[in-house]
Amino acid sequence: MGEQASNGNGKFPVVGIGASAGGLEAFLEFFSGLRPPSGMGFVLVTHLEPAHESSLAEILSRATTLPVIDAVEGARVEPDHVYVLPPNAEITIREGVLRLSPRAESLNPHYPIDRFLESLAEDQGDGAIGVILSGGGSDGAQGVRAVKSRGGTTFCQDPQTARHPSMPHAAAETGAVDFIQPPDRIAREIQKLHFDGYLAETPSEDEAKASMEERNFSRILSLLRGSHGVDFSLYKPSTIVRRLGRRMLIHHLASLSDYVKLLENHPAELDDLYRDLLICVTSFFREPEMFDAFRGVLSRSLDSRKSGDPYRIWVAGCATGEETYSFAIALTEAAEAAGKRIPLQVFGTDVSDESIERARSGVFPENVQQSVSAERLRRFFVRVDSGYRIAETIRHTCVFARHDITADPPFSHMDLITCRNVLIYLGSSIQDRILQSLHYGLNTGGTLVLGSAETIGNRSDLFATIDQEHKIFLKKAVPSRLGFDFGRNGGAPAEVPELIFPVSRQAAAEVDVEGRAARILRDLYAPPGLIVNDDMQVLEVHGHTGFYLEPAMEDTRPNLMRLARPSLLPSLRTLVDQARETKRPAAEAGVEVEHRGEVRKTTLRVVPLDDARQHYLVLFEGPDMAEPELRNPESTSVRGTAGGTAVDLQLAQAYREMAQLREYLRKATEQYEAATEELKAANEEARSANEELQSTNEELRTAKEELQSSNEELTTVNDELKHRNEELRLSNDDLTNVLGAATIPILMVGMDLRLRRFTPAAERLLRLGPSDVGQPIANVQHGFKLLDVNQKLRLAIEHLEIHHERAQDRQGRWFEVFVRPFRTVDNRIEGAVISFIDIDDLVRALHTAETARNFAEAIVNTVQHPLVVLNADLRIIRATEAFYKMFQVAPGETEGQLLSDSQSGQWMFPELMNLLDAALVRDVPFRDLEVEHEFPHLGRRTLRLNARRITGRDHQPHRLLLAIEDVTERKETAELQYRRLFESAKDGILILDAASGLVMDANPYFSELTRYQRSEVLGKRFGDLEPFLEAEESRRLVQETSRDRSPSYESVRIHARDGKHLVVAIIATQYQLKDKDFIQVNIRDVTERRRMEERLRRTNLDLQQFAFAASHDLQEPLRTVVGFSQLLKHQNEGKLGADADKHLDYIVTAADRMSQMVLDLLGFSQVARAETNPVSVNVESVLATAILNLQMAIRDTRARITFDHLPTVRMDPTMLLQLLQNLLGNSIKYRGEAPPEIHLAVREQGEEWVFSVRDNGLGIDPKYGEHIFTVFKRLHGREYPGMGIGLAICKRIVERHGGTIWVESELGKGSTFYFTVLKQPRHGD
Amino acid sequence: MTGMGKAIREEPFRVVLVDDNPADAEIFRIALAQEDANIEVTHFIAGNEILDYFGVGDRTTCECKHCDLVLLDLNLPAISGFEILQRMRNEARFQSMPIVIMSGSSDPGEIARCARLGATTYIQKPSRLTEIFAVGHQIVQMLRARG
Repeated sequence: MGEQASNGNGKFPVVGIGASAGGLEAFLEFFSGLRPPSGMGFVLVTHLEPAHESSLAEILSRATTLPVIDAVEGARVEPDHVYVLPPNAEITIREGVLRLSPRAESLNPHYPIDRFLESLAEDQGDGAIGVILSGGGSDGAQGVRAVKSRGGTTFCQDPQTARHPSMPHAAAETGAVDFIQPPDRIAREIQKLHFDGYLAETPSEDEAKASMEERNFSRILSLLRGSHGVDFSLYKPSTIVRRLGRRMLIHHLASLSDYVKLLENHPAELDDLYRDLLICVTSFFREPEMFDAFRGVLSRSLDSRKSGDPYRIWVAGCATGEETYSFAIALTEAAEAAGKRIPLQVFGTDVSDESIERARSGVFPENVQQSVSAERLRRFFVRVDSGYRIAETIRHTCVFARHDITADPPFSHMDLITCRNVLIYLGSSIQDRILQSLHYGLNTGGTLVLGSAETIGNRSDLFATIDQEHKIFLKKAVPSRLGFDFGRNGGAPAEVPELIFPVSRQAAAEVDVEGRAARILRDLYAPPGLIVNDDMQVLEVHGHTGFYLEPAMEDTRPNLMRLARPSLLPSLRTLVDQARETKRPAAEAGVEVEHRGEVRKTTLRVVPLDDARQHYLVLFEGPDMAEPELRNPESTSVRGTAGGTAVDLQLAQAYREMAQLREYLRKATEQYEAATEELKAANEEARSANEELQSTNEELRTAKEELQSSNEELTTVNDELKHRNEELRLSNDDLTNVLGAATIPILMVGMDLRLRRFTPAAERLLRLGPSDVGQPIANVQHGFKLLDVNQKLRLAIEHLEIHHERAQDRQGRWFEVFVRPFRTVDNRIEGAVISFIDIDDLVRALHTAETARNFAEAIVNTVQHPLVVLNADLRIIRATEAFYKMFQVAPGETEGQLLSDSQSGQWMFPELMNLLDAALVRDVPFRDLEVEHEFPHLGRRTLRLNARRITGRDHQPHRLLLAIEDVTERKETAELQYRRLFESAKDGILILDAASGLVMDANPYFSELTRYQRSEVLGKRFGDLEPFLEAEESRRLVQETSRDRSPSYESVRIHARDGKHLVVAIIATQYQLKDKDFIQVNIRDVTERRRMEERLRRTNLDLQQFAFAASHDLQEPLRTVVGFSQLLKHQNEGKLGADADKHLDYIVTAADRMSQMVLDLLGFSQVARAETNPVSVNVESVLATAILNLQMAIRDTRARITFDHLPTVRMDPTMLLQLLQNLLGNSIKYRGEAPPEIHLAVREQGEEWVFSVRDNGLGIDPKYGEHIFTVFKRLHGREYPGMGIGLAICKRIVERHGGTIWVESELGKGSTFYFTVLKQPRHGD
Repeated sequence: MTGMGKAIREEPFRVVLVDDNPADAEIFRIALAQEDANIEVTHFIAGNEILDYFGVGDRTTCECKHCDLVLLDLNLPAISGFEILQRMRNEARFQSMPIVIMSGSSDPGEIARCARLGATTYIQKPSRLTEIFAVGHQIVQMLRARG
């Protein structure tokens, strides 16, 4: 995964832009922001309907000056060209050349943007720019991650500006997007980046490093180590430099030192940089070929596995978990295929906590469909809202942990370790170390999988290659070298001894020829020996030491003292001690060793190796190496003096051994004592240290207690403060709310007469704004007339006066302005409060009341009638001028007096007093009460009294207004007039006493009518009067009159005194006069009228009979005339000569017309004559029949008939049919140019239905008016057939049902015929 | 207009026409003859003539004068068309005889009454010649339909 070659003709960035729904708009906006020449190539990838011809290129070429081209296979991307993906294709880029392939037919969603951007990342590396614009779904999210991971730059449209935000949103969600902006800004930003030069050429590693200030660079690394605990110094500097460059560009920083400053001040940027550095591409089943190959390896390794053995996997650098889950799935599948139950333990580790968090959630976006087969998707995933969640069966086998493979100890006993695309970011030395630690982590026979661009380097000693192409390796069964540098993490010992076992020699590097030669020499000529450390642990063995050493146990650190044959031990210990002390080689010859019955003498030699670690070379020199004589000169001398016997020899041997043992014992004792001394001293020291610690501890405890108590205090104080704060907050809230809720404008002014606070109402009233707080009150344009605020305030503050006055604001509203001192809780004055109470309504009401009062007074004083106002005791409060004048009294002697006592009230009588009381107390006014009284000065007068209570408000006593009118004269006039009317009336009038029914008066005309004298009827009972035939009826009249007051009788037969019978109408009315009820009976002679009516009726009937008979009887001869004249013409036409033919024609035509007229007349008279049988009939169904009957005409004229919902009426159905048919027929017949449009509507009006038939026909000249409804009036000349009898029939039908018919029309526009039908037909018609 | 390809009938259609107006009777006779030459029209002026002709009400006669169709006016002196219709329909032998009412009246009540009394159909007497011929055609159609 090295840097890819860029396209051939010089490097320029290629911008891949993906969009879907709403993309066109976004593209246009993007190009509107671009200022060519840009020096970049653009490839537009959209989701297109496969079958749909796209006009995107055409539209875009209008929006930009850049050439817009439909992408074709093999096109090389040129700068300042725009390439558009044609429909039904997929596009990728390789070596700067566009590759088109037909879109794969698949049920899975199509992700062309991801595909292109991934190839772009692969091809262009850090020159790639990915842009995601508006669109639905999550296509592109994977793509921007790919671009970002290769060091490219990524953009997405600000989802808020996108018509369909889900695509940019998904891209932004990945965390791999550098810029989130509106499209035009994106375009500008890209151009800026390009011009800044970064994208055009990436500095090479060396340059970069050289240009970097080393100090800044390491400062950044240490900042990262501090904040995130990851040491990036182990990473490839080029990677880091590239990413740093990008971050700097994003912040538009020129120098690294600026960036360091940014990092130091903005921890968030550290997070971003960290994320940038760690960004990596991952997906499910990445590099599927690898997984295929891996499956083979896996099935082989599973073959030999027992069911139930757990299989352990470690996925190092698992990123967001896709890899981990992929391997878990692959393993699960492989285990199933092998038919074994293999428990799985999968460890996923990564340095990024964020990634681990995501991995743990196990939720992946929709686009996992791309990389996961439908089968796996179904089995191992669960659909959730935001995408897919890994199934529980897989999830619970996986454990995720943060782990830095460069620093933390490896996991162990793994069957499989995958570490893909981790090493590429790391320096080679750390790579090697990681490989070693991975080797350690694997079980023997375990598998290692690396990324496609990674190798095991020169560690073929640790791993055997299984599949070079897919980077699958097998752990070789060699001991692991755990060469960790734990120093930084500080957990492990500083040094771990290196263990080299004989086996390792073969495997050891075969490079060093000199070393090899030395080894050969050593094997051939050197005595067998071994190297031990100070603890006598065997580090290295060479030569055949088997004779001297016990066979090595399975012990990691074999100890020489345990390995050495027992007989060697004493000598060995002595020699080692000696060598350690003297730092010089020590040797002892002739040490006997027995092994398997053979006794060998050997010279033991211990040579301290010249190093700080105090290693020793222990050699076993065989007997052939040195002569016994040479080795033991002393023994020879001893033997010489002692005489050389065997016993001597043995003795000498024993002595020597004893001496040796003594020496050894002494030394041991010395050592022991020294050690004891040392221990004692150490103990002392420890004890004293302990004491010191104890005292320190005590001090600390005291300090801690103090701290605790002060902490306690602080907490208390804090609580109190918190409480106070809360109270303050509450009261402040209360105050704010009170001020807000108070609709009263209030200002608070400080001692300095500056505005401190005001209510919202004040804000409105005085047009204040927040900026007015702190302003001197004098500067506030309060707009109140005549208001010296400053002076009032001073008075309030200095003299504690509460001042108030009325003032008007600009609009003339009245306010009561209060100025009060502002008192604090402890009664200090700290300013003043001005409040404005709106009393506008009050003031205005007062004004209104005043006006009303003046008005009322004026009326009272102007009125001509005497008026008097009485109080509750009926004392006179006021009286008008007219009153005083009328009663000739003075105001002084009247006012305050009881009405009954006053001179003007002499006419009072108890009944009137009661009425006045009732009016006053129960609010029962009385009207037009007439009182007659003999007044001393005035004589007899008739007074008309009206009284009405003046209701007192709010428990104030009521008063009474009494109006007095002198009607004496008017009464006399009225009586006179009445009398004249009574006497001259042409009705006979009787006045009866309602109670008794006695005749009180009769007028002269009554006598004239009945020939009875007035005296003959006066005083008689009405019922007993002679002229009235029926006493019973007369009584009833009186009764009914007293009941309903005005009964009337149409025709009553009476007989006059001269025996003549009369028919009269009687109307009776009752009235009251002076508490007595009277009945006035008017008797009108209607005899003549009745007679006339009867005659008219008979004539009408005769006429009808005549018309029917005439038309009916006429019909027959006419038929004969018509029939035979036509027959004559038919049989003889042309035989009789031209004149005769013509005359015959006249006869035929005239006879025909006459026959039609007779028929019409007959129809008309039938309507007039026939019985009507009103039944309930639905107008709609009758209309349907009418339309059916007229269908020929309707079809011929293409008439359109519409109608409202029509009611059910009581009519004769035949007649209704005729009515409707005639009206519709009429409308069709008298149509205009256009096809007739006829509408039948209905509405309710009182007790009638009003039907209307509206047409768009010729219309009727209003001058014909009612004539159209008369028989044989034809208005349209001769061009239309018919005699106009139709409307006459209609009128007849309507009238026979108690309705009326009329027409409203405008010539040339159409007519509307209206007819009414009674809802409840009257009887007798 | 005879037979339309069928063999010419030997027997003429026999039609009894009752109308007090000889002119009306004459013109309908012409109209029928115009339509089919082989029709024999018997014309009566008054109601009693047809009753006598068929022996209506005579219990001793049960044979029936051969007649294919009766054309009956309503407005007749003495015995009205309604009565003739009613009395004929009262007897079983006239049940299937077509009795066509031909009247100048267009009174719906009268038309309804004829239907109630068992008239085969009701034709309002036309006055125009073309219409008279059309009625003739209609009646001949009716006769032919019955065979």
